[in-house]
Amino acid sequence: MKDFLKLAGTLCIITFLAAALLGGVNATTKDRIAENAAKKQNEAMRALLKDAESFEEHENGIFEGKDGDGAVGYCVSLDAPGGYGGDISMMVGFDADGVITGIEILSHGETAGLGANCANESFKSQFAGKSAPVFVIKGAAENNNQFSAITGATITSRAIETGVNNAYELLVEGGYLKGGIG
Amino acid sequence: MIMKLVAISLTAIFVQNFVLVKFLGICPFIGVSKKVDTALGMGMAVTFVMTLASIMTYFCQKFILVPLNIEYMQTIAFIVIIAALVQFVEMFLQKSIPSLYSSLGIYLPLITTNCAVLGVTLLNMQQEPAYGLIECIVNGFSSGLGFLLAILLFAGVRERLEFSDIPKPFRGFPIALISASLLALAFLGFSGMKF
Amino acid sequence: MWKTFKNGIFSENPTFVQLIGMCPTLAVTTSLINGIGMGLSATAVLVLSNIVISLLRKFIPSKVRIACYIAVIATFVTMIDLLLQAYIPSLSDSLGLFIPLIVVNCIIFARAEAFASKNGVLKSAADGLGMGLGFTLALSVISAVREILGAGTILGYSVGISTPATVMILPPGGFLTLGLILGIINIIKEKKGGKKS
Repeated sequence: MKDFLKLAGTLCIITFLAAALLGGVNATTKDRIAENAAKKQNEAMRALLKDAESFEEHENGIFEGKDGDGAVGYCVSLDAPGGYGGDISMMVGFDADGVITGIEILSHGETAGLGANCANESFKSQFAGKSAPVFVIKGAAENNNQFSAITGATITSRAIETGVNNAYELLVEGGYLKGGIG
Repeated sequence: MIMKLVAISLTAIFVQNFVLVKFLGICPFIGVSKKVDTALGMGMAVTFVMTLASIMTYFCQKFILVPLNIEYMQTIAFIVIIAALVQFVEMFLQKSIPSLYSSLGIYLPLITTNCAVLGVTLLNMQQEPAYGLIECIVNGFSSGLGFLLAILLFAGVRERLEFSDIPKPFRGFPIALISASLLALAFLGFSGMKF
Repeated sequence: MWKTFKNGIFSENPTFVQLIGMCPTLAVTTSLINGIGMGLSATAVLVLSNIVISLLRKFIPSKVRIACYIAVIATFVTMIDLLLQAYIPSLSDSLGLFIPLIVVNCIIFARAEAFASKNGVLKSAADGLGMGLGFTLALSVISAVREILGAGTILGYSVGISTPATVMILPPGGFLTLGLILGIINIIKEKKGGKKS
């Protein structure tokens, strides 16, 4: 019995200390982690809408970028479904006329060397100046509605296609942009 | 619903094979794969524990960690659950199914430190959209089957390697790893499939 | 003490000689920066857990020692995980699941059981540091090879390979690189042994 108490006691003390320590670390890092997420989103928005001075948050992850005179464009933060490693969390930027200004990948679980290339500048930069709805094609894009797929990562490319088009639809449905798909 | 479960299962076994694609559970994969029968025993033990662990950790997450707002304790809670679970399974088998115990028994303690088990429980909780209980169970079980498949195939290859004429510096682990590489290359053929 | 430290890096290198801790070794070595990040995170956990377990070695009853080790190791891993998320978010993103999985890294368990539970604090710390740096060294070598051949870059800078072999940073490349490195080490050992005798 005494032995049992000693065993249980030691375990209890160790786990209690462990929990206390973790609680402490969590308390000191919690704000910073939340801040990082917000900062990442903010940086993505600034990169997409360079002219905006401030951002106003609307429903459905839509952010309206404003300068002194009014809206200069919109950023939509959303999860693109159907990536190879789950949803791809991304942000799509549109100017006030509905032309895409770019995309940013916030987080993804795609394969290193293949789908993970979606976060590369060379892939993301091709979206600037395109008009939704966009379609993924193999090889070089021929017009404003096409973008080239990532080599060896068709599924990732399709997920991005869906993400960009969903973002556009959200803006149209919300009445922020005129016109429809097609 | 059924289709979704079949998709989860096929993905876990082939497309996202735990060992050959996700690199989880490599230690037992290399350590206990010299003979086909031991590999089979280990694979079955892992599948069993993975399935149970998926159920237990689901309830732990849902009814303890989330309500108390201590999700950051996930790792520590899950590993303790797995360690306790392995201990219970061992005691239970020893008392009630001695025949199964004698064939699986020696592998059970090794499973606590098998990162595939902790890996599947953590991955279950990270899914977007979130997995329910049934999906967690199917994913846990199928991931175990994927491990079983990989270790069985690998053990078959290694049994033949024993009798092959291999350059001396490459005998043992080096050639085993290179064979594993070819096996992984074969599984790469499944990549890109989406159910 | 110096010997204990050196042991872990060379003669008992956890990856190349003992072949333990394989999962992160293969999974995160797709780029040099990931390899180094993983190595150093594991080193931090290893040193801390070795120190604490060595301090507690007289209090922990042997029957529940495994549970105690798990609690200690998991605590430090979670701490490192939270700290990385807070201060180096980019590294935390790319290492992902493999940070919590340091808990089940056999190296840390093996050192707790085989060394820290039997030796003094300073010696255990030296052992943890040696093993950790040995692990980091191994990961750096593997990830450098894979990044150069597979992505044509090193630390993100191009090395002038126009069509890199992507397969090297995919899973098969991981097994292949480690297998070849082990073979090459054997060849070197054999040559050295031949000269001596």
